[in-house]
Amino acid sequence: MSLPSDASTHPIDAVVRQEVIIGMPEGLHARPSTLLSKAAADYDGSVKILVDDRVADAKSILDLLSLGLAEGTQLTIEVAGNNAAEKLQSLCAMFETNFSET
Amino acid sequence: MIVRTGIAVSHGVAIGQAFILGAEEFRIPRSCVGEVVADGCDDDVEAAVVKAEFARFLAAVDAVVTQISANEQMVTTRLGKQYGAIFDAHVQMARDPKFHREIESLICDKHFSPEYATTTVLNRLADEFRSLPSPYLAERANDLVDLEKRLLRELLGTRHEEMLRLSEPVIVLAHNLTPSETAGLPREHVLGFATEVGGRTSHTAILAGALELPAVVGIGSFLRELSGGEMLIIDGNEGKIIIDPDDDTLESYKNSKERLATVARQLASLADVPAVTKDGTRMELMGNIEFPEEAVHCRELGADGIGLYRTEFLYLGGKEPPTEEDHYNAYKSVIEAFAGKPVTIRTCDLGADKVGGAAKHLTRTHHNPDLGLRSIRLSLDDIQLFKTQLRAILRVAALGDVRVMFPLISSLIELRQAKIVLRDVAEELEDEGVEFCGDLPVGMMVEVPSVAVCPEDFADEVDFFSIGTNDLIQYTLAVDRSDPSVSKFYNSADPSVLRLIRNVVDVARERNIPVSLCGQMASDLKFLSLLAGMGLRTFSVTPQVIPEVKEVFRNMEISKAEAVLAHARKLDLARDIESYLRGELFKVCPELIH
Repeated sequence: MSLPSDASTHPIDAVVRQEVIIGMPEGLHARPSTLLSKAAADYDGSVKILVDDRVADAKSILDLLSLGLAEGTQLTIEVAGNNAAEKLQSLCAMFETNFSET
Repeated sequence: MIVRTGIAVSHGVAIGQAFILGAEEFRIPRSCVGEVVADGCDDDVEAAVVKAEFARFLAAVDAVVTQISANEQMVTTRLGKQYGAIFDAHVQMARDPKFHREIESLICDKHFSPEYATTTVLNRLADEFRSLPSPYLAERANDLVDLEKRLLRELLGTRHEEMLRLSEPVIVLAHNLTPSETAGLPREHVLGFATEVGGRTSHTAILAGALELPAVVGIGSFLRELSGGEMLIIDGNEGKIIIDPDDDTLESYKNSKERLATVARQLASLADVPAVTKDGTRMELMGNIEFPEEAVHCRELGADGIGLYRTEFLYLGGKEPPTEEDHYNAYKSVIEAFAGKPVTIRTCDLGADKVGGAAKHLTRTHHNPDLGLRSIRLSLDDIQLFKTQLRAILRVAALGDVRVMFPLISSLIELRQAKIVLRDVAEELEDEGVEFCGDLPVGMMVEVPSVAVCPEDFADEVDFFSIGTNDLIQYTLAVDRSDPSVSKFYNSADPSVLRLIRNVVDVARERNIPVSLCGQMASDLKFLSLLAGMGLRTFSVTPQVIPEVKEVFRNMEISKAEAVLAHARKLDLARDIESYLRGELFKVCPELIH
């Protein structure tokens, strides 16, 4: 597994990670999972959600839901591919705003 | 080679490829992708078939997404965006790339059908969801169940179409077939069928007989062992199905099928030759029918009349109960087909497993329907419905030799009540000045042990008895034959059953009232000598077996039949009695042993 890289020095095929905490009272439920999997599907590279020793493909809503993540869970988002840092940032922003409608 | 036993409900043997027909509430059996692969053709063909099957899955996904999107729009418009959002999740689930990859791998690598692959993956995921600690997330399992249903509906829809496009006839296998499904099967492409559930008296079974499709029901769970496309033999005579038969078995069935076909052709030419035993006793052979259309065929096969005209069909079709005219017209066409010959109409025998259509509102669900409100009890519970039928019977009796028969009589009170209603109806018709016949013979089925042990109590109050062995055996031996776990205890040759039948025949002869036997037992050739030995002279059987039954009688001697009975009475195990009877039949008519 690659180490977290700096996006500016490795713009192509980079792997970047960031930890976030789930703030939604119902956890990573259907609506945020839908939005997250849609956002991940729009991306060419891979997006993974790492929790403890479990890994989910963020493009798969079924994978995300089957993690069964509750409020307060700490997870790592891992993005690999073109402009990974940019993508990672937008995904983290979704968590920070608790997947609010806008 | 796997042999599974069930209940033989429709005579004959079918040999052909298995075609599994699923229903959406049924868990799809594991099935391979098409017959081409099963036949082991070259890799290119296999790859093409597999690809086509995966494409079928993707097409089903597209169709489901379109449906969900339509629902989403409707809900969003009516209730607002937040409610429509849940459908967004459903679309996302249907399109889930990981789900698709898994399905693709099951279809391509393991040769699962798209139906089975879908069920496998979504059920596993639903189980995972259910085990999640958050109740909210655990509930998402329902979304997966819903998705599974939608996808299966699409996939099976295409299967049904495929069925209509079949070029080779197949053997249809299913968990269960509803009467409408059975009737809707493209007759020219179906060789026979086998189902996991169902009993001898289930409507499907009767319909199969009417369509003259060899059928075995109540086999228990077996579809999971199959993949579709296997070579299969349905033995509708012995109640067996043989999956992937070995060469010897296949050969022997093919030979016996050919031989029986030859025998059937020979016997068909003897249709007009009456069933007279070697020592000159005339046996009366009647047909059991369900549909008016069967009457003509029944006559062509050489029946002396209709010994059992089941009328339940009338109640099972439409949403409304049949009108008096519906009854009248159906009866009239049967009587016209059998001009001058007796036609015995049995009043409604609905209930238990025959409920459907218009009759649904009549029967109250109970966990033990065979002991519940069924048959004559149902008629006496809804007098108006009963009267409608009786009016039609009395009116049609003016046109020919019509007899009326009450089913499932279990006490004298019931019989008297039924006769009172019949008399009331006659009076009403009289008052209205409608043409009818009020003095037709009135008989009853003897199929409840309470009657079979003391038939003398009933003999003076009816014009004839007709022994219904199916229910008599079920009630005597306390066995529900449609329950595969106990069906082995259902045995026509049980000494207790034989003793009850003998008792009824003895009493009827003593009191000089006609007695016939209309149950399935009379269609089983090996029992004929035993029954004739008891003194039975009238039999009502499934139309297809009439030629064979007549042939057995033409080769019989009553004195020998009496000796067979005497010997059988010395045996105390049903199993021994059956094998003895089989041996005796072989001595007389070896060509009719299936």
